[in-house]
Formats: sequence, structure tokens, C-alpha cells
Amino acid sequence: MKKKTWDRDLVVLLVSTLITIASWVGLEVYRAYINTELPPGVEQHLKQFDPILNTSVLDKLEGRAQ
Amino acid sequence: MALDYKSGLSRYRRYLQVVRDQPLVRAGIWTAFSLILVIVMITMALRPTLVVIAGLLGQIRQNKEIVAKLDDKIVKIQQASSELDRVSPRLPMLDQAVPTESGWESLSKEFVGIASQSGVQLLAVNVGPAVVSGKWEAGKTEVSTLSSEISQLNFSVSATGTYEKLKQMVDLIENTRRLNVLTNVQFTSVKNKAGEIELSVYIKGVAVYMPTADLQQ
Repeated sequence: MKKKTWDRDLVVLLVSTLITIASWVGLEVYRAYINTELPPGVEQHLKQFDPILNTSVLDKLEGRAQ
Repeated sequence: MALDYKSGLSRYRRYLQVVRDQPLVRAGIWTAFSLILVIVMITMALRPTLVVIAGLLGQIRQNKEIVAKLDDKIVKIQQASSELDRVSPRLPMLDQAVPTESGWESLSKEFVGIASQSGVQLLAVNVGPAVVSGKWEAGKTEVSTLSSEISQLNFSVSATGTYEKLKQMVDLIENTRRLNVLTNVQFTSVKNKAGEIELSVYIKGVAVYMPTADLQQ
């Protein structure tokens, strides 16, 4: 009877360890998927800008005498 | 026939009595071994493989995002190029508004032209100091609200005439294509040589320009 209890405890311990390790591996995989570094020098080329020129100053200048 | 059946049944019963206690033990041990093997496999083999695969998938995802952003930027650059082509005929106005040189001569001529256009008698035009080289240090007479990259050329104009004409002259000087900031406009009445009272105006201000060195910065 003692032998059976010992086996059951061992199995429970191993299952818990397996769940912990599976969670750890899952988090590691998630982190590896999310944390990807940009290649050097790429970030400056990704900066966005507004292609529309603000021509209000030109409109005001046109309204002034030449 | 019946004897064989009984002997077989008794053997089966003995077998069950012997094996009855063993399956749970054996199953427990094999389960433990299996779990240990799975844990070792996950830790030693599966984890590095999955991490590498996830890293590569992450890089693929990131490269797709970069490609999408670069495509978007290319479209915006094309839009900006067409916008610049559309606006480029009007850009010389900026050079007229804020020239790269002080242009004191053209400024003086402009004042003379404005006085002629307004029909007032120009009494004096002072322009300066004009910086030949280097950069003018800010003084008390300069307009402090302008950007530090903007250089300033002080000027003063005095003229005489009727109020309407003098006012028209002030308006024209204030609204020239070249940007001028009037710091002081003073109307005074003076007696001329014939003893008649005449209205005169004294206009003081600064004309702005941006030297090429500042543009390159």
C-alpha cells in the first residue's frame, strides 16, 4: 500500500513538473516570437512623414505686394 | 471436455490472483518513466527547436511589417514628389520673402519705389548695418521674437505728404513680398521753409534674411 502512494505522489510531482516546463517553454516561444530586433540602420528608414506641404505661407506671400 | 474447461478456469483464477497487485505498480513506474522522458525531451530537444522556429517566424512577421512600412513610405515619397512639382513654381517666393543675402540695395530701391507709388516725398532712407562676413550679434534694436537663424537688416524711412498717402506708404512697406517687421511708426507735423505745416512719418523696422550658411545647417 505504501508503494502505491509513493508512485502516485511521484506521478503527481512529474505531471506538475511537466505542466510547469510546458508553460515555461510556451512563454519562451512567445517571447522569441515577439522580441525580434530590427536590423541596424533600418529604423531611420521607417520614420514616416506627411507628404502634404503646408502651402498656407505661400498663399499669404502671394497676397503680399511684389 | 468439461474437465479441460475447469482446469483452464482454475489456471485463469490463479493468474488473476498473482497479477492483481502488479498492474498498478507497473503502470505507475512506466507512467513515471514516460513523464520523465517527456520532460527531458521537452527541455533538451523541443524547447530549443521551438524557440528557434518562433524566432524565425517572428523575423518573418517583422520583415513583412518592414516591407509594408517601406511600401507605404515609397507611396508617400511619390506623393511628396508630385506635391513638390506642383508647388515648385511658387517656391521662389520664399527666396523673395527671406533672401539669402541682406540685399540692402534692393531694399532701398524698393522704398523709393513705394514712395513714388504712394506719392509722398521721401526725406531719408537709412539701411544698415549690412554684415559683410560673419554673423551679426543681436543688439537692443533687433526684434527678439525672430528665430536665431534669421539675420536682420535695420532700416528707417522718413517721408512727408498727406496722411492718406503716408498711411498707404506704411501699408505698402509692411506688405512687401520681402518680410519686414516695423518696430516704430511715428507721425509728426513739421513746418516747412514756407512756414506751412506738413505731416511727416518716421518708419523704423527690420528686414529679415537668412544667410546661406544657416540654410546649409
